[in-house]
Amino acid sequence: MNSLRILIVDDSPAMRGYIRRTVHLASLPVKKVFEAANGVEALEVVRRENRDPNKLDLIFADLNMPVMNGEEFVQKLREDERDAKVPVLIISTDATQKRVTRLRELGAQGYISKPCQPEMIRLKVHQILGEE
Amino acid sequence: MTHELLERDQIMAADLVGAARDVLNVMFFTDIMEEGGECASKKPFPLQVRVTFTGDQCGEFRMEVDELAAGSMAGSFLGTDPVETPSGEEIDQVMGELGNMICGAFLSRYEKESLFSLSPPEVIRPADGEIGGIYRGLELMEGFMDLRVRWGNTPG
Repeated sequence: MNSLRILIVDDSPAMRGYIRRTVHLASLPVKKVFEAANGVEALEVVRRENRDPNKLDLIFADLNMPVMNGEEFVQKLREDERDAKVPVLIISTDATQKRVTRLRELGAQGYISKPCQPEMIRLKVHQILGEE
Repeated sequence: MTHELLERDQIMAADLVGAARDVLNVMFFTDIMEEGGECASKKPFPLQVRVTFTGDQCGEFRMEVDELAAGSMAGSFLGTDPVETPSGEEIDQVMGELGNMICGAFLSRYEKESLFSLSPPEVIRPADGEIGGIYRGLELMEGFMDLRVRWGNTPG
């Protein structure tokens, strides 16, 4: 796996820090980490950082966020064909079947429910990027 | 109270404690030592987290934690040096996230087929009032925690 450029989207600074550390603990090769506190900020980062020659490899996104939530973010992201292929891994507390089905329909590639361990994140990331 | 209601409340309480245990074990490296209805917690609590949920069902979740437990769990979550104490702002952020996770994990267990939206967690100091509903007092390795869930429309 090549060194990754990832974006972490969560309104909680504590949770963004946790995911950052967890990615490190999971021994994923990370080159650069970007952060955003909601979907609007995340779209700005994507439009800035996902253009040639550099591309984002993966986005970790929460669901429950103010301003623009995770579902709206995935929907908006998929509207621009330049960004439509960036994989999104949702990490959220809401693990109901209806939610997971809806997220897949919107175009999220993976879903992890909190609480989650580093190993689960490592497996999901390999699964998602392996399919690319 | 009818037998069915009692049974439903017991299932709900078990799911609430199960959700809390999962979150505390996996992400906060701690565990529940004792659980009960009205446990020997030290009230009033200095910190309360509120999360409301809407969707197929609506209601409110509240978590109250004592200062020692909040500081210790925040330190574990943030990965800070054991001799360092997280700031008040950091503790509030982490406790908000903890409340959010327990509420979400509980709803995902108890109402597997339903669809919910959770409000951003609101941290209130000191804890403010009770809402009735299902209640569990927990004694953790670091201190005390109270959890409550009430179904139905939330005021305001």
